[in-house]
Amino acid sequence: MRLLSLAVMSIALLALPSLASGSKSVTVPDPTAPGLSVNGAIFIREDGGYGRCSGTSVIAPNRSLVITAGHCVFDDGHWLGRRWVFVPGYRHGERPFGTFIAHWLGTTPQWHGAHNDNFDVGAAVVGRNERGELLAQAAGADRLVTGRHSRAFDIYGYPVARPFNGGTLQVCQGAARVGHDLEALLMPGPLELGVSCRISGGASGGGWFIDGDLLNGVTSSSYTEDPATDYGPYFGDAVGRLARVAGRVR
Amino acid sequence: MRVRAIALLVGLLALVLPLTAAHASAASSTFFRFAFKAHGYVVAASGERATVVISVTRKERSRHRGAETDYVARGTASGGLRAVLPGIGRIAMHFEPTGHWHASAHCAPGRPRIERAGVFVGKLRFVGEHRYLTTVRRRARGSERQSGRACPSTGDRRDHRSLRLGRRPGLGPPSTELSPAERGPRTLLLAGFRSGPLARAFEASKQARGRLVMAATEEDVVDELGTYRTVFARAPRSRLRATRTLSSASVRGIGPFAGTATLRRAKNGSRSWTGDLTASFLGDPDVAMTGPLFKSRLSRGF
Repeated sequence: MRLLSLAVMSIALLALPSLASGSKSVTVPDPTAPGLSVNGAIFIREDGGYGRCSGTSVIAPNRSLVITAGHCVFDDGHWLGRRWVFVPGYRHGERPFGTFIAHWLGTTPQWHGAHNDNFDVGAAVVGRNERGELLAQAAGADRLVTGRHSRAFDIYGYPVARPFNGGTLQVCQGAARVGHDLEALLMPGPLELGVSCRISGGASGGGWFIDGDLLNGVTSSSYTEDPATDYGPYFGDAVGRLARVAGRVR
Repeated sequence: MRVRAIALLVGLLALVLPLTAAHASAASSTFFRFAFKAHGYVVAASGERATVVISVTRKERSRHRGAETDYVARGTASGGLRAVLPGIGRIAMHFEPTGHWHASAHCAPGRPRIERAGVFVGKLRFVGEHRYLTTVRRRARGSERQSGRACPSTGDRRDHRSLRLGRRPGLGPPSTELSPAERGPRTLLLAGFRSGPLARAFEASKQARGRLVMAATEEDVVDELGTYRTVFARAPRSRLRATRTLSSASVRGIGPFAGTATLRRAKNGSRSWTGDLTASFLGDPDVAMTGPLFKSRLSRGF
């Protein structure tokens, strides 16, 4: 069939070196500063080792809600719940606001049931830190908004893969939308967005902000051959429902 | 951050739409499809849930080349196909079944799938870019397929046979399957880039024996309309030349390709991919397959 040769080509393309251009991220000098400490690194322990993601503390009735990517809580058909830890304001091993261990993980039905990239959003409800504080008390929380059609975002995350080391909070300020990805069209739901931001693995789940402090997206994925474009799901009704449900979990 | 496997994008019509259904846990899903010939092309419309695809394949006299463009749009595939393809046309056709449900050719335990024949009635209007094809269709024979429904226990043999007999070579996508003579160690030249929604790739592949195969793809999304274009050609082996040390290679296009391109590898390992090689896709002719964005690779099996 026709696909043989093209499949070979596509797979081989994955091994091509990446492009050199693209909007770069910059290091946030002080991730503990007010307004920035809502961003945190996520450490996931699994049977096969450790995983890294990023997340955001979000305003919720339980004051303990973290929003991240769906594949940071549920991936390859299983929950990543063996040990899931959120560290707001993380920098080079320092945990200025303590450690918050998740006791509840959730994601959208579309990500859970169909691995639909257009809904790759996850939520975690965390316990108190070592000092007995709730997450929003310790590190603050930002508001999650849905139904916006934003043209640019401030994108935060803790990338681990080269050239980063996972120790610093990175930001792409004013990252512009570059359109949609063809793959998003093949799945139901509001189309995943692409933005111009050079950030690497580990930044998954990192917050996309509009108007300074409104969470309106999370990092989901990128192509190996185009690391300058970051893809994340549109925040629509399904994400709003997930946040409402998770925000009431005690 | 997850890394996307772009191989998933290959074969939108034939593979991915059914795949999306397969991913949808145990829920059943319905897939509609019809195809017809128009002015030297085969036009196929298909859809599943919120995705509708119009696929145009150029009918070639020679099996040595082919071209297909898939247009992917948001729409509805429920009771028929309905979608607006910005700048391309629209489809609003409902499905009227004329046959009984029977096991699909791929129906198997663990992968249940049934289908029935019918007629799509309504209107499909398609105007290809630069008007390479303009067609209006108000009625077309097609089928509805449901996955997640158990395969019927009777009539399978007859249905399978009739499906096989019913397949017409002219209605399939272009084939680049390698013949046995073409298999074996090969020289592979690959160049491509992805920048946001736009991606292009070119490949020239030469086995130990047989003809050279050139193929190119272009993928883009504009105004929520996705396009996936492919062309391929089999060419004389002499059109791809590579040095023994793989320090350089040149390729000379043959229709639907034109021009030449050269890959050079410097001693420091850097590579350049230059020339005037173009590919003519359906709806997007003379697309440059070289340039500074392209990254290239040359390899040879042993």
